[in-house]
Amino acid sequence: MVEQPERKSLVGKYLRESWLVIACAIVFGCALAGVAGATRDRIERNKQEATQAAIREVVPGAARGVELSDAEPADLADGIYRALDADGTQVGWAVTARGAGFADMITVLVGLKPDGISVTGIAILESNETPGLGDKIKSGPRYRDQFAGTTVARPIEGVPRTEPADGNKIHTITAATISSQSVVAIINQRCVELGPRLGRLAEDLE
Amino acid sequence: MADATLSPLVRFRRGFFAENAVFVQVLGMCPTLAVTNSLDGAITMGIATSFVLLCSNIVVSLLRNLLQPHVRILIFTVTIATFVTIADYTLKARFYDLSVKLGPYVPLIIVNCLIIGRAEVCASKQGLPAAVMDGLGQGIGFTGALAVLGTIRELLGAGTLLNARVLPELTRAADGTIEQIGWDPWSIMIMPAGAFITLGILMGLANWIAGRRKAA
Repeated sequence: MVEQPERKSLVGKYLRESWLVIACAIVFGCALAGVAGATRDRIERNKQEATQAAIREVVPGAARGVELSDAEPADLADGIYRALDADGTQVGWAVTARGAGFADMITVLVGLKPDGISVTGIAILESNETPGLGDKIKSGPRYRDQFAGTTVARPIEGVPRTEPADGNKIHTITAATISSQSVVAIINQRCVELGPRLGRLAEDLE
Repeated sequence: MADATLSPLVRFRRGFFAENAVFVQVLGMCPTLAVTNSLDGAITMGIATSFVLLCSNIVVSLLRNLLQPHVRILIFTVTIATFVTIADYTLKARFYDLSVKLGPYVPLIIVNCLIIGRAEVCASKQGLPAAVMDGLGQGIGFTGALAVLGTIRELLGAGTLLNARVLPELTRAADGTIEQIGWDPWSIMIMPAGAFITLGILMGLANWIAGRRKAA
């Protein structure tokens, strides 16, 4: 019982010294909640718009992409978009593929014709490759443009610029071999098995 | 440096050169080295940091008479974190591409020592006018320093400025012969080593100029 008043005064002491922290936490917390609420929709829209813009870029003639969100089996439900033209006719597929690059994970968006195996183009959605070298997979259209016209019916091959890139081959980037080979491997891993299934699915959907 | 009697104008002017955040105080080195491989990233980072610095200086200055000595750092941190989060959300909502480019470095403004340093040195000791002018001066000085680094590194490292080509591109045929004469980018300039080299040279230059001024 002797300790009681001492403890009370201790609580009072703590409160006197920390009330400003508590007050700041509450006020700033409310302010942040307001900002988060005001910007949330816009941020979400920006993310979707970035994906839609990439879909229009990799699938010629596409106006928008619709994700196969409720597809069966479940492995088709994630990151696969039907690319539709302005009238809603399917003009291709856009498939996200993710895998390890040189510095960090790379996310590629692969554009395919409705048959699921003819590549129409690729875009790099996320990457963290070395500036000036590996990031040419993203900034240099010369590398990306090569993928249009290849097929994922069999694996795509990356070869150095000293060899001819005929058949299903593309030239890798000098001084960025790992990054540019990684993109090829990521596409092959995701699309070679998936492509024919998407082709059948496109026929079913029609 | 911790002079609580400096006038707002002196505070403002010192941020440019005499107490430049990067070249003299050597604060905020993480963004200085990390995001200056392109000019647009450097300027965005400078403006975002200046915004946080100005807001935190205002709040800290207004609260300065209520601060308890041993919880003051906590107040500074809470204040800074709040404004950094606001800046981060605003960038994501309004300048999505730049926000993607800067990635984790925007939230990392929280740990930029420049901001907490100015709160400690100036804002927690002086009134609103001095704190505002200090925030502005330091912010402009920091943004300017980052912009100089960004200009040098992007120009030499990529041959571009603000992503627009300034120096003609050198292209080679498949067998290595030169197709078109132009600038062969110094890749090292946009990599971390280039950041250190550029910063070192600029800092030496700033010291040399300061030394000559003092001698004169």
